[in-house]
Amino acid sequence: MYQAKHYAENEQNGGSKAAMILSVAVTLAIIFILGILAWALPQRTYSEYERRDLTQMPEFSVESFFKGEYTAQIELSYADTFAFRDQFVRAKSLIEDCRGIHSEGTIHGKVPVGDGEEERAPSEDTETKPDNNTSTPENPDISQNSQSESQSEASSSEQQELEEPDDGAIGETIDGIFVYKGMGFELFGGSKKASAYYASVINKYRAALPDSVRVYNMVVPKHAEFALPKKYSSLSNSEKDAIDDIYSQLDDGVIAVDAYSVLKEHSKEYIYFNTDHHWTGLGAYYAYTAFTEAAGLEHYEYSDYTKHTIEGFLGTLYSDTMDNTMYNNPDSVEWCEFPVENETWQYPKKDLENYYKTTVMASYAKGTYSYGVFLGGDYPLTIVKTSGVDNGRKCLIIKESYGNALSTYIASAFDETYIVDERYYDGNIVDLVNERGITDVLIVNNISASNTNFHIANIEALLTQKYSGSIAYPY
Amino acid sequence: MVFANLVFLYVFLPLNIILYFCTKNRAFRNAVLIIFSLAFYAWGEPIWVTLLIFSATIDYFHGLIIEKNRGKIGAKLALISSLVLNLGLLGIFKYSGFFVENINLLFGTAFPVPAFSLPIGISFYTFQTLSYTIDVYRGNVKAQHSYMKFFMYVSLYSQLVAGPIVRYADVAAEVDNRRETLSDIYSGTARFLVGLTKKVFIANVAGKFAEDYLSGDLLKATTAGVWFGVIMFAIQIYYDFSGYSDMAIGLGRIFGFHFLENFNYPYISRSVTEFWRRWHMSLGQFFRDYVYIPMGGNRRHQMLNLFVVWFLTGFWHGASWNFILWGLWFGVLIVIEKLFMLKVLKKAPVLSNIYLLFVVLIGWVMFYFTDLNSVKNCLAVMFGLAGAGFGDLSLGIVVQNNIFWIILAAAFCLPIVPTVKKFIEERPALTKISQYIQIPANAVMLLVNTALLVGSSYNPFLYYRF
Repeated sequence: MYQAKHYAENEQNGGSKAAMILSVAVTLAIIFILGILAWALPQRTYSEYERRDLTQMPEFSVESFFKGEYTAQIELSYADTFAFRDQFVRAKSLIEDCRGIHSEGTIHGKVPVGDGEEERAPSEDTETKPDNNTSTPENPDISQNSQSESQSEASSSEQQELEEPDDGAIGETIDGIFVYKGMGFELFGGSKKASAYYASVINKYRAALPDSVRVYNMVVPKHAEFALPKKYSSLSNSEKDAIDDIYSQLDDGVIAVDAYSVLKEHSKEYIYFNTDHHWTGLGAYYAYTAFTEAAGLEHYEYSDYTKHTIEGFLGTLYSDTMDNTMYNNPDSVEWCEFPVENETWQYPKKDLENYYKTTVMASYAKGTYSYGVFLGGDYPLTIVKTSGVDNGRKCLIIKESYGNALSTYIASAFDETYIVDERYYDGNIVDLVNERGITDVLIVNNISASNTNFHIANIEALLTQKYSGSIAYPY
Repeated sequence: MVFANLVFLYVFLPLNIILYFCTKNRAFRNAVLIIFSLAFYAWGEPIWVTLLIFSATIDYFHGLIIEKNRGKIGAKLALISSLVLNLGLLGIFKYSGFFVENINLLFGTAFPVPAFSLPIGISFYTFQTLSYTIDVYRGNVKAQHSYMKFFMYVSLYSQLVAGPIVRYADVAAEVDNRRETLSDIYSGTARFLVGLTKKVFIANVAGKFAEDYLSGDLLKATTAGVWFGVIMFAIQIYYDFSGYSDMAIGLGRIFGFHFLENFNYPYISRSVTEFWRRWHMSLGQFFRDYVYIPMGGNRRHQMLNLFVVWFLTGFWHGASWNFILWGLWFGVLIVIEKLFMLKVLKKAPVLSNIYLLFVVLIGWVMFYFTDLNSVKNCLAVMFGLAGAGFGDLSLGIVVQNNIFWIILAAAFCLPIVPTVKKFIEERPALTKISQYIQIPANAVMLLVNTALLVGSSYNPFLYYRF
């Protein structure tokens, strides 16, 4: 026989019986109490703190059971709705802080290498595609507010209840995030291949649209480009180089809007959030002045606006990292009242046959949704019709969430502005331009989006896709 | 199901404990263990739970037949039949895809490649039942006449899916007649929580780093970054696997079973020979007793025997060439050590430690990448023959961000716990104090792991592949 048990741990001999009983009892008590509470406490469906839908208990089906999906989802759902989840998640980030020293900043996730890293396989991106319908949080606070805000009839306010402003982060893929002194920086890798693809798609717009229509492109740099301390600059590749690379490949007929220079000029001001991956309203304002200049239009002075501030904003970079220094350094969102008399309509996701009346600024936005103050979040189509501008120009803005803030300024310079979210709009852009008599088309993307195949492919598809029904317009 | 999971910790385990301990009736307790084991297995493998039942049933009957025909041809036939059936199951479910693929490659044929999903734990439980029939055949242990008891041994969920490979001979007495004692429940609970902490607090974190630093285009990675990734993988796989064994041993102890240790601080070894006496011990012993020694051990064609054992050790870990390469890598080193190097290593205390860690890390590269091209690229970057320079700023920051954790993970690769334990046990006054310290220690481990599990969807189980 082979030798046995000499490795086995020694039996616990002697000692205190009371201590042993207590030690087992305390462990069991925690398990039983938390186990019962997890079962007894009311189940949430959404975590505002983590900014995501919580996995719900699955419906039983024989098929999903035998595929193992049923049990897998129970596990996810159980973890997502566990007792004191928010407290445990917060505890997790505190425990993680204890793993080391953070005086030189903290890296979350994988630092991008560059060229190719920004590109995502389509399969990875499908997770964040709007079709999956994972992006409509139920938030009673906001839906109530938005009802009282809107002046529309009962039927349209029902629509509004369905469509909550989301964080605007759908489809944005992130690699590493570097947190330094309470500021989060998305690190940029960049891909020459994706840049070339992006430029070719913009050129396709020029070719597909009538010559009389002005086509603009704006690529917006992100926070890391200006605010990353010098000694850490090697963590992130140059966004300026990537933007220049794109602009150099654009056809002559495309008007390249230089937002970079004006943002750089004001880079010491509060133009990007620290806990969120977006720019602030002020950052968007500066880009708006660059656009109006390119379009030959007047712009407002920032001091002309009536301003409001939403305090206590913890944005997407915080949700992604749960970093404590960010938690202690929340942002504030300053927003300007829309300066011109207007009527505004919005369309719910996946439905261009219904619209409802709304406002350009969603003054009710708060908490983790604060960036939603601009246009109320991401919608397939928003139409702003001003009175008194009367310059005969109609603008179409094709954007991801960076464009939300920008649109709230640009719309005041046109008779009509059509704001299309590239990720959600199901109609055809050429048709829209022709049917509505658009004179100016602006395609605006942040540098990550313009280097991410998912976004570029969406923008490209807008030229060829057709809406299956007939699109309804308010006028 | 896995242990490091909230459903297990807060639903399955408490229900199991309540039902098990609510009566002293042995048959009832055994039945509870069987039902919970089946539920545990079916939770993750609702289809292949049938395979587990099939495997247990045939070996139960084979054991009886062998005992009845002891010394006669019938016993031998039953043994052969058991070997064919068990290895056949493994062959079909684990290796058929690999075999067909390679035959197609070799002969240019185009047989359809079977794509079975590997039933969880099949490599572990077929070895357990195999050891049973062989031991019964050899007369090392009596056949189990109660189907229920035998089934309990095979299906026992604590070690069912990721080891240790518990031999029937080691637990036969406890299957028939065991005692659940307070001191076992006490030490089993602590042991389980230590294993859970190793898995959740160390292995999962290290696994994330290994993935970050070893994925993507390796040729764009830095030398220091790849070494960091490989070291993180070494930490991950040790803490993952030994943590799982700790949890299995701890759970077994709560229910009155005493399993053998499966790990004995392998990274302090000073030779590959020693490493394999300390790493996944139940597997090494299995191959030693059922392959190496029956083939002749060191008495005849030792080289062939060693080659076969290390080929099989590699192949057991996965149906892929990289695992075979990994096994043979250790086989070759062990041969070299046997020839002359062991004597040299004995005389060089620190150098031998460095040697062992170095060859083990190279081994983990072969283990980590299932395609041999990545193995080549990874090694090239590690030795500065390719890649994007030596190091970068971000690695420095990541190390700083995790420096205490790294020190902790490295330190507990050393036998700190047994040393402290021994020190305490020799002093009765300290024993009592240590037991009181265990109370808050248990609570802290449980709550910390719960927080980490609640807040993390990242929890892959490494040894599921095997």
